[in-house]
Amino acid sequence: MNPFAIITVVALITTSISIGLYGLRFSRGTSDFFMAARSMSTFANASAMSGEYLSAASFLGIAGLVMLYGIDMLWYPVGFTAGYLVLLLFIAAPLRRSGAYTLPDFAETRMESRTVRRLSSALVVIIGWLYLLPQMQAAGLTLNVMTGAPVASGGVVVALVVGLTVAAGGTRSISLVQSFQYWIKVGAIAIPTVLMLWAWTEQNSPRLSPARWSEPLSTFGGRQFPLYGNLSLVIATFLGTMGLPHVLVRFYAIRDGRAARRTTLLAISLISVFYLFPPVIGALGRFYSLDLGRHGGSDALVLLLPERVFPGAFGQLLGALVDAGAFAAFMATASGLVLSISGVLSQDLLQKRMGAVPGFRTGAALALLVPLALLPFIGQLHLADMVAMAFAVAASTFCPLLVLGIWWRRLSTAGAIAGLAVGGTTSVLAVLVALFIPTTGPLHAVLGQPAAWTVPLAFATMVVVSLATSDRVPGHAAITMGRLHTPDKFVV
Amino acid sequence: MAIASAFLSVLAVVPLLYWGSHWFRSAHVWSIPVIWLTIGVAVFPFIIALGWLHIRMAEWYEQQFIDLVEDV
Repeated sequence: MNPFAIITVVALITTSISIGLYGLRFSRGTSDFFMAARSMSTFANASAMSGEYLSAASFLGIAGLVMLYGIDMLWYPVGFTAGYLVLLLFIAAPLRRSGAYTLPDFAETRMESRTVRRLSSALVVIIGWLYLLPQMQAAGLTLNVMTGAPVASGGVVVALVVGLTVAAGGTRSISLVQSFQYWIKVGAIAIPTVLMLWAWTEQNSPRLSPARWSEPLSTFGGRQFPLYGNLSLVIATFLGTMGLPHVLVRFYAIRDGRAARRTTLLAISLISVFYLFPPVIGALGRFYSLDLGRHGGSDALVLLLPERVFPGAFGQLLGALVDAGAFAAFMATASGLVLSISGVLSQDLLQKRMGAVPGFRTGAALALLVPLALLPFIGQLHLADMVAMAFAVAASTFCPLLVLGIWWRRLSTAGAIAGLAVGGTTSVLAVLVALFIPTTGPLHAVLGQPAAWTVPLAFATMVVVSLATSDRVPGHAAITMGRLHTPDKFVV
Repeated sequence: MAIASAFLSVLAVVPLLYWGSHWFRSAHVWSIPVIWLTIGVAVFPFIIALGWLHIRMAEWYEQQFIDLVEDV
């Protein structure tokens, strides 16, 4: 029980909610409620983007994995960052110019088909739920470390806090909160890391052992099939980032295609700064070799290390800072996800029946309740591995749709449907099976990181079916694509 | 496209260098293995630089297009 931690976390939550309410004062009418007024600066937008993107997997997961399995795990931060680069190279500006608010919007504009829209909506909801699971698990873990409360309680806390902010706010106030939370996260990981590094050099910087830990593809720590795992992870993260629903909503809040590029580049820089720190904590964790079995394993490393390095009140203070950072991490990501899921649910399912704002609120509740109900049944998985599963599904579905939709005129409606269906079914089934089976053996390796085979499969299906059904290319494909690639100056 | 392939080829060179070069495998800077510094630190400025280059190129092409259209 850490008395400082309670104070910092309560302070973080109240500050977040009050920023949210402050932001709310500026949103007038329902249109502002759903979409940000495009008045946020590049810097604020980039902070919000990064704040939303850096989830519990980044804040807690990576350091733990590095400690357990060594250098191969560095592909997580590299992949998460490079995913944004791929997004910038191929889709940032055209996507913004499409004027789509969500992935289903884009699908419908480009493919001119309700079926593609419905498929995309279903996939957004599935990816969102997959991504929410680890956030809730992280919340439980953090609460457990702070207060000894059972891990299962975490989901409830996230559901309450996030539900409140989202139901009250909408994109505008959420963005303000998320950009605030980015800076909390960077501070909460940078300050303890630097101090702990200093403590380590005070002890004459002992070398980390054993040597095998720092060698690539060593299967150190019993992580099997490293080459396949790394390859699959790289594919999933590089190509999956562009297909994450909460990442794409951001682009709608940006003024034009040119600003979209600049904001993305700034976000990449902010994310990179953050990712310098978790591997250092992982390496230090190796040296101080904690007994982490008690608190949900390696994912608790970031939370426990400060108190281990600095015993006493100072360590507790640092620990409290880290706890607040972890809270910021899953709050920012979870609220972005809930916002996207509920946006899709309310637009496509609920709005006709119950009107815009109640539909949106019901959607938010649904978005939170389903993963909450699933949480007790999933197997023992690392946070970052669970997040990678959501990336794999996004890479096998929305990546082909976006890349081919933006760059290939001959993509046909039937091709898009077939590709989404094949990529979606294979990757979702693989990941669902992997969530519930024991985490060892070749079967889990292939199903738990399916991107290496599902992504090529989805691309191939989309291309082959499109070529076979060339009479079903959307009627306005040339016009739509012209609009996506025309400089902002000419778009009225 | 050119930037994407540059990125991928550099990424592919790192493991090859690792297997091929004894120096690369054993070198340390401030007692940290070089391979850790490569994919733990150096990739990030590299990614940012590529992104910056892409923006410059994309905007240059768009400016060319704008000039072309406005001349007519």
